[in-house]
Amino acid sequence: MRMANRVASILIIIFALVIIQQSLQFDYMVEGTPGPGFLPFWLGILIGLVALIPLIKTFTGFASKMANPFKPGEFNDFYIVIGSAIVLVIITPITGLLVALGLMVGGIAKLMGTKSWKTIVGLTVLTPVFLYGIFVFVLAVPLPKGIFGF
Amino acid sequence: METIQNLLFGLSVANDPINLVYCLVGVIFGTLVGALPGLGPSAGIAVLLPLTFGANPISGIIMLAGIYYGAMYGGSITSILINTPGDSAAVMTTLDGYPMAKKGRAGQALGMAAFASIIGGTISVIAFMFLAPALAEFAIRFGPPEYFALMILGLTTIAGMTGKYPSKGFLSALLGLFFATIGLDLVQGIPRFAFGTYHLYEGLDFIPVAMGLFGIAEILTARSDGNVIKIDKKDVAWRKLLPSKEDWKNAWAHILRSTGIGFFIGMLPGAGATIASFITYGVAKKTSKRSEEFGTGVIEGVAAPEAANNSASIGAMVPLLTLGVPGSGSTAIMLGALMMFGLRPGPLLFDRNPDFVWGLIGSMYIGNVFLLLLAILAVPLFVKVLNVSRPVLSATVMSFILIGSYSLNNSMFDVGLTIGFGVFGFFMKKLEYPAAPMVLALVLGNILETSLRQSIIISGGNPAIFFTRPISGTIMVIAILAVLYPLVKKGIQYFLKSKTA
Amino acid sequence: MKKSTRWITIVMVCLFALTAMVGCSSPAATPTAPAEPESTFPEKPFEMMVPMGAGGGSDVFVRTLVKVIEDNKFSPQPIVVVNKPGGSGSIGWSIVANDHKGDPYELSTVSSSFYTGPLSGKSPVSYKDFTHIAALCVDPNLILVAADSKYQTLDDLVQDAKANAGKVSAGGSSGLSVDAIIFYAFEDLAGMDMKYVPFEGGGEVMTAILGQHTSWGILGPSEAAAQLEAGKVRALAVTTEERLGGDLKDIPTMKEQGYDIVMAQTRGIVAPSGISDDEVKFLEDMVLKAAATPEWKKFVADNFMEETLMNAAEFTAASERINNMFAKYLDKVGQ
Repeated sequence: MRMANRVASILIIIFALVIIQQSLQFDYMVEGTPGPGFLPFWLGILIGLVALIPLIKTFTGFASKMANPFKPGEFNDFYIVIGSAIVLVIITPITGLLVALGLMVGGIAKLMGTKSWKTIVGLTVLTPVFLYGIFVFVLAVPLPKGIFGF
Repeated sequence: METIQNLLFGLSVANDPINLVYCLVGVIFGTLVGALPGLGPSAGIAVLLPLTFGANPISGIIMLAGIYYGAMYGGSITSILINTPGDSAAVMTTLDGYPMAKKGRAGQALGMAAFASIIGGTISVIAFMFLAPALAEFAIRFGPPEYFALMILGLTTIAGMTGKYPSKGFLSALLGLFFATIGLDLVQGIPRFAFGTYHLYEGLDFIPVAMGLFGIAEILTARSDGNVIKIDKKDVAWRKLLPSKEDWKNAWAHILRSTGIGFFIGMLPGAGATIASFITYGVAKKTSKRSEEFGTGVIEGVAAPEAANNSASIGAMVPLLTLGVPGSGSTAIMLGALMMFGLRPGPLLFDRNPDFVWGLIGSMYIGNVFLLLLAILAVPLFVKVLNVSRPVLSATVMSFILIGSYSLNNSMFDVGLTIGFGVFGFFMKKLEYPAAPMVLALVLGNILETSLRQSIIISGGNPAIFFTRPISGTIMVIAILAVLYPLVKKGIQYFLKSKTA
Repeated sequence: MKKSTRWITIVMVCLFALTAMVGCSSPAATPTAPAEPESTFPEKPFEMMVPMGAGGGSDVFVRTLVKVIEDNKFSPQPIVVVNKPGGSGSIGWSIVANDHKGDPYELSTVSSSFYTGPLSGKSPVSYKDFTHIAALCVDPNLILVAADSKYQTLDDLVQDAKANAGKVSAGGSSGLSVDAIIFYAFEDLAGMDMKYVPFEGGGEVMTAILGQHTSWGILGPSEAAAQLEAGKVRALAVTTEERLGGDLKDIPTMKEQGYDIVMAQTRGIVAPSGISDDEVKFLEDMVLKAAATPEWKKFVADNFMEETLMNAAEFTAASERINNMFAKYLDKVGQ
């Protein structure tokens, strides 16, 4: 926890410096009124300052008492869900969004531990049908189509 | 007693079988789009707009209004069950609604959300009926300085949501304010922090952020946090699913107060239901006897924002119908619809088209009754969603979140953005950075900056404008008191203690 | 799982039934009119891309036009309206121009950011990347004050602004828009020093005028019509060449009061570049036929737009003219 918090704080402070640097490229004041750079500049400074507090805390005894949130295995669901979602974004131009969603749902369910193949296949097929019903048939959303024509 | 006569006339218009069907369809649809993550009332109204073209204007507007207030209730369903706000006005409902569901009290939370929504809605319709023109006159006195003051007041509620580590809560809020500055600058028209993509020119939309930080982050952490919710078969009985007497005792005052605040904020053009739900949650927390328990699943934490967002949705009709000025994204689309129908909302609408105005008001009473029946009947069904196995639930919810974020702007960019904020939310959750302040700041930040700059332009560079105008001055004082009150309270307690000691 | 799918099915069936009921009354896919024997175009549905959100000015314009075309069966194929908001229209327009080059089934509409976007470097596609089909009308702009404002005429405003330099403020939509251009041009021509307060949309500008948060404001007649009729606001001038007709005929133009500002938002239909002349002809006919119907004329009159029918060639020429005019003024705004 101590290390994770320290890294997070440092990342935030770096981010704050980027904000400050970027906002200096916009006008700070325009004819006596706050310009586009005014609020981002002050936000950058405040973010950097406030982020120092958790950073300092990691050097005091307080933080070390907490359990490490990143135990091994805690990332399993993260890899499964985010990985599947990224695959979805990649294959959507080819398969269309509905097919990609079906595959993603089946994939997540399988990888997260659903045993029954009936459930998995059912989800893969029925989710797109159900989503088609709501989003295309009823709500007329123009979903991206793939090589299958839907 | 003219109002009563008009109301009876309105009810007779709304009772026309065709109008009843439109009202029912609107309410069902609204609940559905509200419950679908990503699709909020404005998306629902926009996509269903073409369906109303074949109808006469009264039926059309009855349906659109039904979608609007139906969605306000619908949003609470997914907030409570799966920690994914169905729309922006339902974010606050997740804070106590989802913890209630974790405690096995999903039914009571859903039931209270329904009752609070409907009570809020009905009282607001009454207020609308008697006070609309007078209130509209007051609403236009809100200029940029008043909005700025209101946003400051909204930001003070963050202090109540920071969780265990105040510094992390404030950091989350500050980052949210920064995210609000992304996009084209309103005054100069230059892109800020858009990373060279046109997709960010209109700013960072609230929906991908909220769905990523709440919905996806919940999916990613649910199993490791051991949040397995099980509902016993025998618990799915009606009586057990509805709020208890004690719940009512805790909630009723908050419902009434939030209805008033919600209606008023909803009426201000540009503020809307989301800000109303934020502010009323903060007020409920401040005024409740058990404010330190907020966030752990207290019933008034659900009742207050739900009453507020429904009454705000009806409040937003006041400027729309009396001034022709839309008070929110949803009412802006309704204004477009009315223009397509050949009607011109404005000061003369009440005189020229009484059947239209009073028919709409009548339908809102009937629609709220529909909503209540629908909600009560559906609660046992909704609760059963929690019995679906975790992998299946996670997978299907993920698909809803992604398709919902797509349909926001019909763009895959938003899908990627939602996934990105899901990753961000995962790390925030693990490191115990609360997400609510970020989302709140994102909503308030845009109006905050815009109104600040508009006010300073108007005043010619003098920031005193926020205190010299009566309304904005009053709100600023309230905001300052809200910040100081806990300190003063502590000080007095300390003083009294030291005296008695 | 079993139970949840069951209720989901029930809800869906109910929804389908209800929408079918509602759908019956709307003319969705009308049976096709007898097709022209000599040409097969169009052989599939059109898509009409609105690069703005639903319910806005562009959306209302397009949806009304499509409804008129479909009700009168001017198109043998249905026209599907799609909203693709974002980037002040640049996202939608770049999809039409770049991803649908040569595709006569992908249509779109224009507004002022069609010109200002590329000029200020915020849109990758300009009017040159489109085939112009037809222009139908223009949305003029009004100079408005609240009914109890001390300004009775435009001259009162100018005198006051000159006497109190830097005190008079005006509200308009966004800092880089037709409204802003009108403001700076007016300030320039009259030799005044005023403050321009940008708002996020017409509704907010109206609130600012009514509540007198700004001294005056700029709005389109359709946005101001209800208030004008009710006597809550007063129009001091209009930015057209000639006075408007109907109820607004008493509003003097900027030009006749000595300020040569003629600026209005042209509304029309465009298609991607690289489509054939026959296709242009067909689409032009379709749109102009719709523009001749009484329903359309009523829409234009109801919303106080000014009818300015232009065919493909005239619209192309007008586009260049509009673009040059914006280019000239945008230099001023940028300073």
